[in-house]
Amino acid sequence: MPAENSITTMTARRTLSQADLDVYAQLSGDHNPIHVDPAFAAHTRFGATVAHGMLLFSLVRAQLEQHYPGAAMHSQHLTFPAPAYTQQSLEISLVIQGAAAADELAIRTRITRPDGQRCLEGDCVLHLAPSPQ
Amino acid sequence: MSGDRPGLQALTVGASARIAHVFTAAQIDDWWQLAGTAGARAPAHNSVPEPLIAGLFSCLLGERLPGHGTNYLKQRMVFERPAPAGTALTASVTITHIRHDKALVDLDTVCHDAAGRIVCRGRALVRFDR
Repeated sequence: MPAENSITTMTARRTLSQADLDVYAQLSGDHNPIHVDPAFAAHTRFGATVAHGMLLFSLVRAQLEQHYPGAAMHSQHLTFPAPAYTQQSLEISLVIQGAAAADELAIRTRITRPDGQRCLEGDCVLHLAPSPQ
Repeated sequence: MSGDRPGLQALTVGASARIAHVFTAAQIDDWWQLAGTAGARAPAHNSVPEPLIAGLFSCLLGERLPGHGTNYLKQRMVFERPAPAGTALTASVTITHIRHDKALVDLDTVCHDAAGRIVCRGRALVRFDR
């Protein structure tokens, strides 16, 4: 791995199960059958259940917390180019872009499938100083 | 090519949908357990995680406006203040623009706390090819 990559990019892997999608459906209230009903999803253009977009964002958010504990999220832009399926090893990447302001950090956020397709692509800005509350 | 798209035709600029929701501290703990990778620890603070707020927009778009068949393309969000666990949140989506030729719908998305203060504001782009 190139040295500059190891400085600016942090990656983690996660394989989602149908049970994970079911838990997220309970927490979010989003019980759309494309996420929770394998028999229904099999007959759609996706061919199987797909992860909720905001479950993917959840994986990104937890990685941000792991690397920048206590940082507040100022903003996040998200796109969902390709569906993410269960039982795939998803790569979660944080690519550091630099300081957006004195106490802010701009980070590119990505989730990539094993075939290289992007399931989530986005940019976020973190406040590194804990927010007063 | 995609027919008349009666669902798209029925949408109007200014149409809005809203949902009220309370996330409990226990649900927030469950969310950290779900979202974290092995070995990750949930933080001590227990404000509502941003993806659960975003999930309220997602629910509204997929279930209410435009509704079933919505293909979520983009979401932009700015988080203005934290929302503590147990706070009554109200999320709403409002159609701002419809591109009939491409079946694309732009919406404003906003989430308020119980005091009416903005927790999160932003915009969504969806395709609704129905």
